[in-house]
Amino acid sequence: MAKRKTDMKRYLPLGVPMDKVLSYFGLGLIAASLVSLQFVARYSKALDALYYWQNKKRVLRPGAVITPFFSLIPGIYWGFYVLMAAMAVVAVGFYFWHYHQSRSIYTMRRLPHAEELPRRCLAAPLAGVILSLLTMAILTALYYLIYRCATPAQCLNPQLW
Amino acid sequence: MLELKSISKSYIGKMDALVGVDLTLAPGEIVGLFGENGAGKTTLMKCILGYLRHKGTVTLDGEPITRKNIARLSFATCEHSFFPNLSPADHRAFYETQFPHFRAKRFEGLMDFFNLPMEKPVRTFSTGQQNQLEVILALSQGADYILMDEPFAGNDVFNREDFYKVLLGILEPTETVLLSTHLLEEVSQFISRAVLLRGGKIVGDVTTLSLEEEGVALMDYVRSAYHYEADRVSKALSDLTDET
Repeated sequence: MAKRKTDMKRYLPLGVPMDKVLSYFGLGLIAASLVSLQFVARYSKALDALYYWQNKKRVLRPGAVITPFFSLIPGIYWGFYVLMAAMAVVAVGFYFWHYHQSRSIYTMRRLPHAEELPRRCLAAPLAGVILSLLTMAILTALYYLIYRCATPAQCLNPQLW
Repeated sequence: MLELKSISKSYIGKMDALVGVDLTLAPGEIVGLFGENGAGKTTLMKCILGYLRHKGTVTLDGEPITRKNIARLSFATCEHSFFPNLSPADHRAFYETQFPHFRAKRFEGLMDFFNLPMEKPVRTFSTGQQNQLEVILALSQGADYILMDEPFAGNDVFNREDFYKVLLGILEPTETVLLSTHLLEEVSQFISRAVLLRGGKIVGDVTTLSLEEEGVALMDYVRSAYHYEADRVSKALSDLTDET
């Protein structure tokens, strides 16, 4: 575990605390995921629209068809878009880390391994973008599962869009 | 052999920092690079290391400086090029992965001699200690050409003297040092050659041996090369006191 932690440090600028980076990114991921829960509210509303109330009972409207799945999606992932945009800022921040309290950029720019500086500045932000996209894909799959399972079969929209 | 040919550098909106500098550094030389503030000393070193775009060529044994041979140059600067959050031990670990000829024994010996803590982050060091570590890293990298840009700013005189003596003792015959400093008289005892920069041009280049043979002190040579007027202070004072 210690060796894996050391290996991961190769993907960050020297001296950047890895624990903090992981914590902040984790918090960002959680926050973006919570924002995406807007889907639940939208889906609930779309589901309610399939019914009407009769004698205090909820009755399915004949021939009602639920809103297409992907029409419920737009805008729920803005938290992830902000997170991914923040990764670009992080990459720039990692570069300017080498001007903080010293000019370690002078050492980084004269290393025999030319990939060292770009790797340490870009790898973690790129990983952040990939993880964000992966999380969006997983959430989309989860929401689709909810959509399919919770919607009465006869009300499912043949169109996804 | 480190050869600089017609090195020129201009900054936008400012006067030329370097103008047609030709300089050759042979293995084993300890060269003092002197000049007033703004003479171009730091710019020259940065051009050698490839940090600045410039005209002219810099070659190492006839080859341009690329990633293949850059490890033969090391750099110690008063701006500090270490990683503040890392300890010296962490620095050693990193340098060993990057520079195949890193001198671990020399590193440990110098750290021990200057009593620097191996496990504390460098940001907790005093300025003098940081300067020492900066130079230790440059000396331990395993480079053939060690460039030092005013590395002793902030160190006391005893500290500096210790360092000069240690430097002379540990350098191998093939190691070359280019040392930029204002402390001309202090380093005159251990450099083998003095190069004077003024206004981006080399105005003097002399070995200490030839000065010794001619019976000329380095400071006098520098004054002569700079056309320093010995009575400029008394003239200025005279003008000032006349004003009042």
